[in-house]
Amino acid sequence: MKKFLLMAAVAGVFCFTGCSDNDEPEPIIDPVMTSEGVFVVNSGNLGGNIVGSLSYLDYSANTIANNVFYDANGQYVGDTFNDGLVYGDKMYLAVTESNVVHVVNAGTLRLEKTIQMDATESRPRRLAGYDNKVYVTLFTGYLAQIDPATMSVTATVEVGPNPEAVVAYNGKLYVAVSDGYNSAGDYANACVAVVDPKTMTVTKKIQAGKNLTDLATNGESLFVLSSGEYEAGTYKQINYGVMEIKNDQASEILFPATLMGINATTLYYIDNGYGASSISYGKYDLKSGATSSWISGSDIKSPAGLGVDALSGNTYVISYNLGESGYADYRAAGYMARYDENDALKGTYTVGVGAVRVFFNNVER
Amino acid sequence: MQAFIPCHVVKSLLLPATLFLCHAVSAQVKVDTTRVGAKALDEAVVNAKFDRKTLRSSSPTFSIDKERMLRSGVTDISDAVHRLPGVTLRDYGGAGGMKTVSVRGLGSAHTAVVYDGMPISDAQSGSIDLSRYSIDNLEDLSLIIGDNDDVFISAKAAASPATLILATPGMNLEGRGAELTAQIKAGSFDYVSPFVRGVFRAGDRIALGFTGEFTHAKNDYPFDLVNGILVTREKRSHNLMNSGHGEFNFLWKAGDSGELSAKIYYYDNNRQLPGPVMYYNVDASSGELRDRNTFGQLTYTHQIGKSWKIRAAGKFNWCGSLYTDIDKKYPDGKLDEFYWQREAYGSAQVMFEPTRAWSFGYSADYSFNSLNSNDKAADMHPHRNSFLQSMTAKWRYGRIVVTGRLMQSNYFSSCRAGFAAPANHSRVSPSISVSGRLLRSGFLYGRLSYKNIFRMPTFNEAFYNRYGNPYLRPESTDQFNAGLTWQAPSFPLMRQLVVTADVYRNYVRDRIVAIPQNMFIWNVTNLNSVHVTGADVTLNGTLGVARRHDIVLGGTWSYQRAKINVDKEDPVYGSQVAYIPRNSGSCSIGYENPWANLVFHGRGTSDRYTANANSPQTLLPGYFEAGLTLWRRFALRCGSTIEVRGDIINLFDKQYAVIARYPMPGRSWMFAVKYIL
Repeated sequence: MKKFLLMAAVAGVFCFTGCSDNDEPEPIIDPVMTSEGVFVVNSGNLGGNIVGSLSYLDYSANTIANNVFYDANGQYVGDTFNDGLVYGDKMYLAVTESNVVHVVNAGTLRLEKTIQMDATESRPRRLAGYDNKVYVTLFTGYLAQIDPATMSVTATVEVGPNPEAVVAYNGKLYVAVSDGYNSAGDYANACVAVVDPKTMTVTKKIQAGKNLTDLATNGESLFVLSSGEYEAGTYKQINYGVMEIKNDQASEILFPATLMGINATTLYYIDNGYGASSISYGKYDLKSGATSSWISGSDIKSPAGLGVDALSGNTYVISYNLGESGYADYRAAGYMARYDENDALKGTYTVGVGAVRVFFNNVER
Repeated sequence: MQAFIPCHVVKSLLLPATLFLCHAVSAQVKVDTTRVGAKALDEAVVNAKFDRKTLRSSSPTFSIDKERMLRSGVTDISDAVHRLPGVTLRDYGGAGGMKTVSVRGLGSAHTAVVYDGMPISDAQSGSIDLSRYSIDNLEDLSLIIGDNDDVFISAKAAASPATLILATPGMNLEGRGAELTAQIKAGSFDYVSPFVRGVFRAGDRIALGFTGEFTHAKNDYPFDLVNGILVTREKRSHNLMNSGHGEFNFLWKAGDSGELSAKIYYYDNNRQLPGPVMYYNVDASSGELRDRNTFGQLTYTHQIGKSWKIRAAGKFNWCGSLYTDIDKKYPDGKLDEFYWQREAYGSAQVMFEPTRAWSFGYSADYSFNSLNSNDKAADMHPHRNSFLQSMTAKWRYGRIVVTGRLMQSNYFSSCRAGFAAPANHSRVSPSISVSGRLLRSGFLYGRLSYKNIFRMPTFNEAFYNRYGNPYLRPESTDQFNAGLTWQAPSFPLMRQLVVTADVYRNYVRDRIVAIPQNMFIWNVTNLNSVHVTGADVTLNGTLGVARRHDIVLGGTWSYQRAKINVDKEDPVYGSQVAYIPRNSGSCSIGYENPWANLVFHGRGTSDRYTANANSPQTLLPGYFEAGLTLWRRFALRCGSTIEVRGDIINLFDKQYAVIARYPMPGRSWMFAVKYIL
């Protein structure tokens, strides 16, 4: 009988452990005031159950605040948070796997509306603003136009497979169509699609190499970044880098690069191509066309993103921290290094998991 | 007391065992022959089989047979595996969710699965998806951690650190001319599953059996999605599954000393994959998976004289896996990946038992495995020829049994011309184990064992386009185990009680890990080693509280501490390896009586991490899932039996996930009626 009671007690312990309720801590909702600073897009890591998050470095305070979207709204940004844009008095956040674009108040970060994309025109990637409309590329092959007044999608146009970046330049929208899923077809559909924002139609497709992923413009010059391809056998990354687009024609590859950012005078870039013997950090002078070295890279363990603040002259490099045995850890918080206009390190700040991009809130409107 | 189905096979094999254990068991057996038809009741023998292996094996051996699965309320294969200690099951949820088993922190590719005597392999992924095996078709599920005490086994069955042995209801020559079992099971979320099994015997020479089952499940179970303050009730849509399996079995007793058995098996599963749950986008998935598997196996065993026994076995296996996904992000709006594997396997075994004290065994296995796909550009056509030999010696002396084994393995891999030729591997792997009865009277046994074995890189790890590494070294394991097992002496009330306790230390060297080099290229590499320290405690007992009233108890508790062996400065120093809980366990309490048998059961784990870097962000909370089972057997006057069973699964509606972003079903029900001719 004693043994039975003991067993019942043991089983009873199991029962009680089963009865406890879910214990997620109650979120404290604090509107986050923003002034001039830089936002960091932390994409998270779906496999590691880590959601995306938004970080904010306030210039005057010089401190970083992580999880600012969650702090302001009590809910997560979502999965694979990929880009943000401050336009007008609102901020737009493109969250790819969650298939939404959040529209928040740029000052308080309070969520005003979550725009749900549908099942076919889906997976928002990158954002651009022009002429009182906001544009977002959708990974299934579209460019969508959002009306800030109604905070809803007013038009879409099919641009080509797997578009990534979009920028406004010379009264048109330029979309980097990567065709990134089409390695079997040798990325034949990759191009820079030119879209007329008034009619939302594709007016031209500029051929510019394979797997085009990023665009950078300072209003005067326009550059496109190609990820190239991976050499059969060695998988070394080849035929990748920065090309200039002039008169709707792409140049040859000017120099290899995997990340880029631009201001009025300079294009900054990082070359971390797969199979390269070392990582290079450089500057491309827009007037002379000469490349020079930028930072040494000794502060950067594994570069993941690059941002240039056109107004303040600061540059930002996002890096992964290293995990087991010195490999970049995709499931741990990364950090951001801030450099001043003389390329001197101004500070490093811990950000979220999967940090990939920065965007600014002091752009001229 | 309820009536039980007799266990024919067990009876003939375990007469010596019953003599051993009869003094412990005989006094408590209550045979109620009035409730059963003409069949003899042999509960003592059923328990004796379980007790013997669990008590006396020199490597931890745990088994649950069909009867105990019922008496402890086991609902499906995942629940059955959870009643075994030291296992970590990756369960993606629902009736169709994939389920793979890792034992004692070693990784699921180190768990061998044996189905009716023959190993099941998957050279592509290395792990066997257990969701394709239904407990309706299982007579016994056993887990052997370390070496199998049995001398007369194939080399392949000894070539893994842990082996899960599935045995379907015995094809045997005892019993009536015709046997039939038919069952219909229905449950929540549009689950329905008919099952039929028949055996026909011609004289005492030939037996023919067939099994057929089909499962249809919509699996659209609700779950709570907690997004900060936004809590929404969602549904696991796109989770439909239709699966079926059929088997033909043949058994022929050739002369006095030979036996031939054959099997043809076909399995087909068409399921929608719900994918991970994503915030704001719960219905995202469009992937579908069609799995097919067919094999034929033949085994011939022959006893020569008193001391020699030989066996020859062969198997042909084909399995195909078609993954489709309709999504506009793909070129042509669709992804179609078809992989198929072929395997040819042969084994020759010989056992020599010259005296009562000595047994020797030798077996030689050959396997050919190949993988093909429909992506002609990326297909590497990997194939592998494996030659395994195993030499075993077993020595019984007084109260001690010592078993030693040497495995010699040769693996030759190759792939498509023009690509890096992978290395061949040849190794010798020793193992040794001791079991001894510690006290002269009573049943207290001690055991010590060591096993060294390795696994080859899977085809995915070695060859997958832009991911695989043909230069990978095999992942090797060393296991050390020390344990005690004890069967309590009989006394009033306690009809049976068996307790086991083991502590162990495992080493996984040259651990095969996929590392992301950048966002697009992952590389598989041998990286560091893992040290696992753990303990497993199990308890099984039956209390007879009154005449025809029994309490049946079962419980397991496992402790697993798995650490990556790195320097103090490394970020993962001291962390717990991903997805391995430090504590896990299961329990069941059944109350059996003449009216309706009731079982309360449950299982749970402590917190785990989704990444080797343990942080608050990668923490996945632990859980305890409880269930209630009600069952009863009715003996019909014609000699047949009807068994009725109802289950409430996840009684407390606990919302949890085994794998992050794959929520498990909440409270649900299951009902089954079985007719046994």
